[in-house]
Amino acid sequence: MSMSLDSPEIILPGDPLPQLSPLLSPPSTETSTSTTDTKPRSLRLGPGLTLSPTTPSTPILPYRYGTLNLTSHTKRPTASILSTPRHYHPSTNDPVLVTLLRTTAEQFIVQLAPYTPPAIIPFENYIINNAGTTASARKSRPNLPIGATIYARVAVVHKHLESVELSVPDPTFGEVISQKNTSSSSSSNQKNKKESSTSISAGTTTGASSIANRAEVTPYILSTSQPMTKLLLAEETLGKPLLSAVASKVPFEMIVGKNGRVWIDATTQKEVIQVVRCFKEFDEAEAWNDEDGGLAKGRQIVGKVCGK
Amino acid sequence: MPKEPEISLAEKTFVLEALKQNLRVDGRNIHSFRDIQFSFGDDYGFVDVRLGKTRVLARISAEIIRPRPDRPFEGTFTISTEMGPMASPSFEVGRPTDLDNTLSRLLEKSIRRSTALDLESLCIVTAQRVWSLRADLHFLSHDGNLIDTACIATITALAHFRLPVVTVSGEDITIHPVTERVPVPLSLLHWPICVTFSFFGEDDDGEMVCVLDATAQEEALREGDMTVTVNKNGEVCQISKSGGVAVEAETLMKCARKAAEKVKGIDKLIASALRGDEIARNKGNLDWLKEGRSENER
Repeated sequence: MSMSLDSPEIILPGDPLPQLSPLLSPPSTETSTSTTDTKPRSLRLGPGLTLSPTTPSTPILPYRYGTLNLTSHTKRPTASILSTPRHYHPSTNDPVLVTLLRTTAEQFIVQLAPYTPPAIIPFENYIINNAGTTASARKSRPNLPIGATIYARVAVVHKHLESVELSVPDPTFGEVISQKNTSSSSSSNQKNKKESSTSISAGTTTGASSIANRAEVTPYILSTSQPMTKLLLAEETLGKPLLSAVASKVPFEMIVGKNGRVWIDATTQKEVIQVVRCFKEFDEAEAWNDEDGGLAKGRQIVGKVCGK
Repeated sequence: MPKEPEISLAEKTFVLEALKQNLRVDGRNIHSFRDIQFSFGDDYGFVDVRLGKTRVLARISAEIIRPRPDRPFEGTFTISTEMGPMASPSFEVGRPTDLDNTLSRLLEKSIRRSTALDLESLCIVTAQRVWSLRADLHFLSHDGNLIDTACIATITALAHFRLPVVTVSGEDITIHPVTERVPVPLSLLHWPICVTFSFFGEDDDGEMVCVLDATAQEEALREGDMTVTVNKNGEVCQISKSGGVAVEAETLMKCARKAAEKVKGIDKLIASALRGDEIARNKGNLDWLKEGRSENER
């Protein structure tokens, strides 16, 4: 039973959450479905919620605004606050595209978002090949230039510290550009895994490998707003109107980082620019807010940018 | 101080490669400006100029002061520019950046020292009372080309401003409120307008890539820049190039010609925006406007 999945009520930081209290004291809430459960079910707290020992009456408090997302039908009920803030708030397991700022003796220092404290990728979290070799040894460490773009995953977010630790958990992550230049069949496969949107964009007309095989055209990295990033990540649902409209004109590949960075590549520079402009204009028009999910606006922009 | 965000290598190579093919990320031609939008406030001399996402607000104010003893016939005109974190998080209040200094010096050179404003016309009583004009520029959003936008905003605001009529009888000075006498426009001798070129090195044919109206991203990647101030008659008021990549004389001439051509267009845009505002302001009240004409008999 899901309690309030589509509750439209906006929750503000510090609001009491009476909905969560039954989940915290399992014996009293045992419904007929799970009476056999002997173990107390623990509630898992997702982003936006925190335990507050100082307020016993409301032990769980939100620290973000948004709507409460509660799933209690699974074995482990989870609760989180869903919101689309203007800034990126890192949370564990987010795929992100980061820019290398500098390299120290033990880690890569990277930029997650502009005007925020830098994040780190420790070398022991940077896995280079399928054998699980890390970048710890000097020999195996990739020699990345400053400004290189790394596709990484958020590993640790310290709640009370500002530092964020990232990881490169397997070779499908890692530096984005150099993979392209050493374009073997395996690297294009990696790309396919990475960019699930490749299937709808390039899959119909041009194969992904043909794009990856050219070195002379450089890809672009676009900054997008958080709602736009969300839209691009949900390529099968939210993003479909826009992405299929663009893909019908220009075959392209993309990697979406949740921190609002999108890596875009196509066959020519001009095509990359067309894709970038479509996304940017869609974003600036805030068309994701439209009632039709940006379908009309997306078509209009694509028609304008790419020609009829 | 918050640093400018690091631009990734991919963006950098892409922008530079594309520029060599005369392509820009926002789809513009390398010699085209973004759309300029003007919106005027209720008061005279208040204008909000947008150039793409760059936004500058200019406001002119006037007060009566005693003139400087060495210049008894002249009023004063000051331009105050202050960049705060509202424009970009890398600007801090009270800690001027290089751009801040360049900008205020350039406006000074372009507008004040090219005598765009006739300071003697601001005199009320010689050595006693003069008008002191002040232009306050507020930078609301920074997406490149602040210099040109600031210059356009200042000129538009000056052209939009009206001074209250002052009558002098003996020792008495009367300032007539707007409701009593129609305020008079400033005596602007010409409209100097800045056009900034950004240089991105030489392309494959060995020609310098000069880009007009650079965005913040392009500004962060450029190798040099040059600001040419021209009026619509094609008179160059100043050229400023401080450092950066060396530019051939021929390129400089080309830039100056290009600037003159661009300024003609911008001049027309400003004039039509001002006309539009005047019509909107006097809507349904045109008789009053006719009455207020200076050529009427009084």
